[in-house]
Amino acid sequence: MLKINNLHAGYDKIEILKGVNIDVKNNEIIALIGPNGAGKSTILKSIFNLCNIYSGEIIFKDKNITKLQTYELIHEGISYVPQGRQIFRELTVKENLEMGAFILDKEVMKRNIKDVFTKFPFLKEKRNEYAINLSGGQQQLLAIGRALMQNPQLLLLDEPSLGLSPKSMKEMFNKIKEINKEGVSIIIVEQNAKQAVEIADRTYILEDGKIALNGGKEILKDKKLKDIYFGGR
Amino acid sequence: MGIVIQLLINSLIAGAIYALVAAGFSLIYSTNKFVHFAHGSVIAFSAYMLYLFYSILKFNFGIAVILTILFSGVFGYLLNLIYKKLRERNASSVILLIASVGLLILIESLILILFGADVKTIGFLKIAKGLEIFGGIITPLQIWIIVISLLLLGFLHLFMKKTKIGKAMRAVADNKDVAEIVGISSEKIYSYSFIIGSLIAGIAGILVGLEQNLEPAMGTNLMIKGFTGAVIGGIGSVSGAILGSFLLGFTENYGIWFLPSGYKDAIAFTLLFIFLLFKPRGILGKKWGGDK
Repeated sequence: MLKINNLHAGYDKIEILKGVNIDVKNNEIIALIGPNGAGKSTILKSIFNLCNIYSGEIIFKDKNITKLQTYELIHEGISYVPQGRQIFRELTVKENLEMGAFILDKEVMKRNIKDVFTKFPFLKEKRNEYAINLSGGQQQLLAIGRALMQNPQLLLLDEPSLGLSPKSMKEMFNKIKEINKEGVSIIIVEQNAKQAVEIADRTYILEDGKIALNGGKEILKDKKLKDIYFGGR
Repeated sequence: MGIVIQLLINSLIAGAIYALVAAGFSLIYSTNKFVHFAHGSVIAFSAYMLYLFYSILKFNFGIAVILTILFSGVFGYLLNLIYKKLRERNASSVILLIASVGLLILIESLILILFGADVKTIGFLKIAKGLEIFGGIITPLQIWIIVISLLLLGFLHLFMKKTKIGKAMRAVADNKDVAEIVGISSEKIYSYSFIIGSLIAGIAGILVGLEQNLEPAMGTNLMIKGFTGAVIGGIGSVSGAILGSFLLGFTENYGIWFLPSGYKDAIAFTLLFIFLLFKPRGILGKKWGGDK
């Protein structure tokens, strides 16, 4: 579904990704883990054209999307949930969802709001409340709900568990699995490595802008993983 | 009793005008996150456009008004193009603020060169005898000012709450980065807020032009009042700007009950300083300069 070939990317002149290759198949959950500054978030940002791409290509469903603008990517079926509960705090819950479908038809918007309300019933209950009044976990789910308004085939999640209580975190990971079961492929960047590997079909481990290791759940036992995280080379 | 009613009427008229200026200014501030002082020049521009179309070119009054309002919107759009050029060069909000002061002075100077320094009157309305309400006097034009202002502010409120573009404006004001991620072009929203803010300023300019004499610096004076209203209410909040403007109107007018009327502007400035020092976020306030 998505192929990243030899990607070099960064911000202005600072190169963060130094030749990354990633392959995502239909209906997969892919986890990206690694130490701070390894370039996990930059991979998501380069898919969504929010940083500078120096070379390499990103292919989505056999189409080169490397240079597409954000709104074009939404039409292609990719949605992005940035780090840190990024919502419109002074808009109501319903308005937040409406803005998620800003570039889509009114009919599609109405239908998708219904779907999101079915997936997240608390959002329906709180639809007229300002988003700033939701709890941290609810705000994060609202951000995911807003991305689902765009009917994505591929959902990019940047550290969705950041700052959440263990209970909210568990609820959120369950929701991510549910969304995946409905046919949405997911790339998730996580600090919480163990949790991420457990829900993912496959995991890529980044170190200093390169893929150091990739594999299934067995990766947790790999000695190299400990070396990357604790520096014992 | 008569004086209380008269001051109430005067407060409402002043508040209505300040609120129009402040609402447009706040709308532009909320999305663009910089202080657009040249907003004052749109008011002067529109008053002089009405003078040009109606008093010099002798157009029908209705046509002159419509043309003036349209030109004000276009003028706002063009002002935004100048800021856009600066934004493309990564200008900070302080640079944009300095540019806006420069634009205000430039435009007022151009008006001075083109129309001269002498005071102009549009002269559409002959001096009308005021109506007496509980001992206070109000002219028909002043009633129109209050009614049109309240209607416009009501429409603006509905527009921001109910329409897709209005919601997108609030979304950009709230979190520009997320707005971009969901496909809202912030540049387009900047343009829309300049056009809408300037249309409202254009209508304010027409109302002021009909009520008072025209002079090139009229925009600066009103901008200071509108800015004060916006600061009192909470900068970046359109409803705050409206509330703050009416409060300013009331404070100024009831203040001169105790002080000589020459102190009217001093009252406004004192209030501005008190708020800037002790409550810079204003009554409904948000933090200056961006997201909380």
